[in-house]
Order: sequence, then C-alpha cells, then structure tokens
Amino acid sequence: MTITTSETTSEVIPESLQFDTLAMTGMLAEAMAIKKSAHRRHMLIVNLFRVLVVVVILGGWELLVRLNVIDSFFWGQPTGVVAQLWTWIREGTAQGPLLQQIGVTLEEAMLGFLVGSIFGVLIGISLARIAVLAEVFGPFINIANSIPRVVLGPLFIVSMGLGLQSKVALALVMVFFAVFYNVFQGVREVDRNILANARILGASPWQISRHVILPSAVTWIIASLHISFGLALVGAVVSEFLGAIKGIGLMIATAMGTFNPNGLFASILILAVVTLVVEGLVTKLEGLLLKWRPFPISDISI
Amino acid sequence: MAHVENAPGLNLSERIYRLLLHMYPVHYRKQYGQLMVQAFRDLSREAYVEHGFPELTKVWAHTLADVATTVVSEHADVLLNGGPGPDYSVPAVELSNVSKGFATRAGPLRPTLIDINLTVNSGEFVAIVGPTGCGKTTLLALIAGLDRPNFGQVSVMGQPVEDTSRHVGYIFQKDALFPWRTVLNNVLVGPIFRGVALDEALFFAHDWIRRVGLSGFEHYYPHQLSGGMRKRVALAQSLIIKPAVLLMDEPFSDLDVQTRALMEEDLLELCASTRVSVVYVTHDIEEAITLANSIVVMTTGPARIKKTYSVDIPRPAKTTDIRFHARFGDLYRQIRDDLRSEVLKTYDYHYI
Repeated sequence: MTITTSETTSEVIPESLQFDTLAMTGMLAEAMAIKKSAHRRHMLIVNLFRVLVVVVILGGWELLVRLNVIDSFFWGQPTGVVAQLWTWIREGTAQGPLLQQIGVTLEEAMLGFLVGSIFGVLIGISLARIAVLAEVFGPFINIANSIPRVVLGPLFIVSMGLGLQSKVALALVMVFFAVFYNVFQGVREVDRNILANARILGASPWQISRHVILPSAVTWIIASLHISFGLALVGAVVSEFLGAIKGIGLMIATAMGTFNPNGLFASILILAVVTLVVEGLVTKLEGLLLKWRPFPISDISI
Repeated sequence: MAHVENAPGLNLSERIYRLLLHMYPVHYRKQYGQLMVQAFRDLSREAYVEHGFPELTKVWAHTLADVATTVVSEHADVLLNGGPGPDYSVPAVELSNVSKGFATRAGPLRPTLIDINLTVNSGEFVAIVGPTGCGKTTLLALIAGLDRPNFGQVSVMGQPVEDTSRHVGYIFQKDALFPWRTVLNNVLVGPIFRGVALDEALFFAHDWIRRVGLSGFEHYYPHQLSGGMRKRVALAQSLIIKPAVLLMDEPFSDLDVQTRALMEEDLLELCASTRVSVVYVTHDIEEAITLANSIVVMTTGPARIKKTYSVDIPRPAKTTDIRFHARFGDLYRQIRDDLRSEVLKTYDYHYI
C-alpha cells in the first residue's frame, strides 16, 4: 500500500537546498543592508539634482518676469500660478469649488476609461479568437482608427449635449482603440506551446480563452492601461473645451478666454497631478495582477 | 463497514480514518474502507509496540498519505475520464501509412512525413531518433491530435485520432507551463479542465508534486524554478491526467548532463509506476538507448522510417549501468552510422 517512487525523487531535489540556510540568510541580509545604504546615498544625490532643476527653471522664469524680459501678461509667472491655485482652493473657481471640477473631470475620464477598456478587451479577444469576426470587422475598425478621435468631440456634443455623456463618449473612444489594438496583438502572440499544452490537458475553447488567452493578454492589457488613462483624460478635457458646464477643461477654456496664463498653468498642474495619481494606482494594480512575472512592465519600459 | 462507523468510542486511528473518508466521494468508500482500517490498525499496533507513541503518530501520518494516494490513484480514471480507464490490451499508438505535408509559400505541398507505419504497444517506451528538422515533432503532433495527417490513419488506444485525446499527455521541448500559475496550480490544471472538483484535483496535484520530488515548491512560480524543476512540474502536469500515452519532444535537451541523468532515471521510475506508454523524440542516441525498449530511426526530411531497433538490454536496470552493458556499444554504433549517413545526405543536398 505504499508508493515508493517518491523516495528517490524526493531525495534528489532538496540537495540543492541543503546549504546552511541561517548563514545564507545572514549574508544576504548584510549584503542587502550595504546595497540599501549605497542606494540611499545615490537617491539623495539624485533628489538634490531634481530639486536644483526645479529651482533653476521656476526661479529663472520668475526672475525673467521680474526683470521684465518675459511679459507675465502672456506667460504668467510661478508666484502667480501659486496665487491662482490658492484662490481656487480658498474661494473656488468661476464654475464652483475646485474639488468639484476635478471630481467631474475624473468621473468622466474614469467612466470612459473603464467602459473603453472593457470594450477594448472583450472585442479585442473576440476578434483575435474568432477569425470570421476579424475578417468582417477588421476594415471598419481600421477606418475608424484612422480618424483622429478628437474630431468626434463636436459630434458627441451635438448628439449628447453638454453633460456627462458626451465627455464619457469621447474618452471611451480614445481609450477603446488603444486597448483594442494592444489586446488584439497580445492574443495573437500567445505562446503556441502553452496553447497546445492547454489543448492537450483537455481545455475547451472557452477554458482556453479564460485560462490561457486572458492571462497572457493581461500583460498587454496592463501595458495599454498605462497609456489609456492619459488618453481618457485627454478625451474628457478636450470635450470640456468644446462645451461643458463644469470640469477642468472648462476652467482651461475660461482661463484662455480671460487671458489668464496663470490659470492655464494652474489647470495644467492639476491635470498632471491627477494623471500621476491614477498612474500610480494602475501600477499598484499591475503589481497585483502580474505578480507571477519576473519583472513588472513598469521596470522595463522606462 | 457500517458497524465501524457507528461504533461508540472510536479509537484514534478510526477517527482519522473517518476524517479521511470525508475527503473522497462515495463510490470508493465501500470497496476500500475495510481494507484501510485493517492496514491502519496493523501498522499502528506494530509501531506502538515497537517504538512507542511518537513513532506511532509518524506512522499514522505516512499511512494516511499512502492510503489516500492509493485510493485516489486507483480511482483517477473514474474521476478524470468519467468511466473506467482505457483498454490497455490494444496497441497504445498505431500509425498506418501516415503522410503529412505542409503548404509552402513557394510551391505546393512540401512533404514532411512519408508513409509512416508505427505501432507502440501498451507500456512500451519508444524512442524516435532522426536528424534535426526531419519531422519528429510533426509526428508527435499527429499522435497528439494537434494536427491531422494528409493520408493514413492515426489511432490512440484503439480509437482514431480526431482531436486532442483524453489519453495523451505531451511534454514539450520548450517550456509550456502557464507562467502565471504557481507549481500547484500548474499541476492542478489538467483535472480542472476535465471537470474534476477542486478539492479532488488538489489532492491529485499534491500527490504528483510529491512524486516528482517538488514538495515545498507548491507556491513557486515557474520563473522561480530551475530548468530541471520546471521539467518536473511539466511531468507532474502531464502525468496527473493519467495518460495512457506520453509524448515527449526532446524534453531534457535544455538541461545540463547531471540533471538530465537524474531526470531520465526518475522518468523511468514514474513510467514504471504508471502504465503509460512513451513516445520519446530525441537526437541523442545515448539517451534513446538508455530509456527506450525500441528505437525508431528516421531518415532526413521528408522523413520515412529507416530502421527499427529493439533494445534487448534486460530491465529494470539503473540508467547509469545501461551504458556499460555489452549491447550498448553495438546499438550505439549501428544507430550512429544510420544517422550519420542521413545527416550526410542533407549536406550533399545543400552544399554540393
């Protein structure tokens, strides 16, 4: 009643593990500590230089304005931008509280991002998996992709009004194509061996999609998410330029109409911060979904 | 059976046994229950009398694992195939007059395999050697049902191959593990695809991970393992579905010599403990003689079968000892000469 095959095999493998674990851990910890302190010193220097760059650019800008080399009427000035931000935070913008504007734009971008990504993933996988669909819809998607998406903004505003829908629609369209092409490519590049292996192990077409295609494409999906939230934001903001009741895009349009360069810079700054925060969240998500990878994508790409 | 379960004041081993019962579906309890209890009692008594309580607990742990393993592997066929296992009396693989070609961009069908007749009997280990690119992998793909022949018929376990078969396992030359799944989940995936419930699949998986010697690595991802360990995972992943035929495509060619020797030994042992027939593609003559019962030599592409050798070295023997057997040198020389003449043909073709 005993299965003996394990005896030899289990003696074989752990051999590689029979080093002195404690000593090894100690050495590793020491090496890590040395590496860490070197890294800390390195980062200190890098950060110093970063601060220096900011000081030189902003200080130079402010100085040139003060020396009347640059006209602050056209180019604004850093202190003016800070003052503008402070006014917005304290008294709110012309359209209402600042946080509300950010919230509105974020909501539009998020919705567009989510819906666009979901459509992109679903349609990307379907078209890549079902050859007939790709044959039928391929040309249409290519034609639609050749249109610069931004020009659809006025169309959406005419048909959906100044509210949420038209902004979400533009953001969605912008996100969709980025995600779609990435996923389509990703599915096509699924490792042939893994596919064959899944078939041999008895996977049905649905199980292959669910257990092989989707996980392989997740890498590509995540890669496209990094780009596509930026695109969603572009869609939302551009659509707000074109006509809106609230949002950061409207703040920019207002600042432009009132010749307020400080307001423009302040809005841009807000957009940048929003994008960075969301980008950080996507990276977190990536870490969760791709923990099986030796290196996260974000480490490789930049 | 009933009186055991209902008896008041159960002793410890019976309580453990009952615990064990809850792990398995109804249909194996009846047959094995009594047997398990008896074996369990005997072992317990022996261990207690001879070594006292600590040893007894160890015995319990081992017995539980072994009994459970036996019970479950006896019923693997029922679970995996929804019925009794395949009929082992028919040849495992039969190829009759199989030809296969591929369409090329330049011209018409380029033949890869021509008129292949091959029979692999149940439990046999057949090695296929041939020059690189001669179509050995294509041959395996045909047996696996990943591809269809242009002419002729392929059958596995007496049934013509239409699509991938339940009875075939395949170990690929390149890594084909799911990189996003841990070792455990990689091994688990076959039973899951075949609709086995998760807790049963887990049981098989743990058993197979133990049998290939990877206990403790259940939660590692493939990229955290060495090449040899990944091959072990692949073995467990394939063998867990109880294949009647295991196809192996130069599985150990990426491994270093020592690891390879170990893997070969373990492979033979694993094969002996199951009833699997193996078709093993390699270009290494030594490996072929070491492992196989019979060796098929292919010609350069388009491939035909040039010769078939039967390895008449008595088994079981240590893989390391086979090399020193008198017949080894003979076989090696003959097969090498066959292969050399084939490889020379390709040179003529390309360079002269």
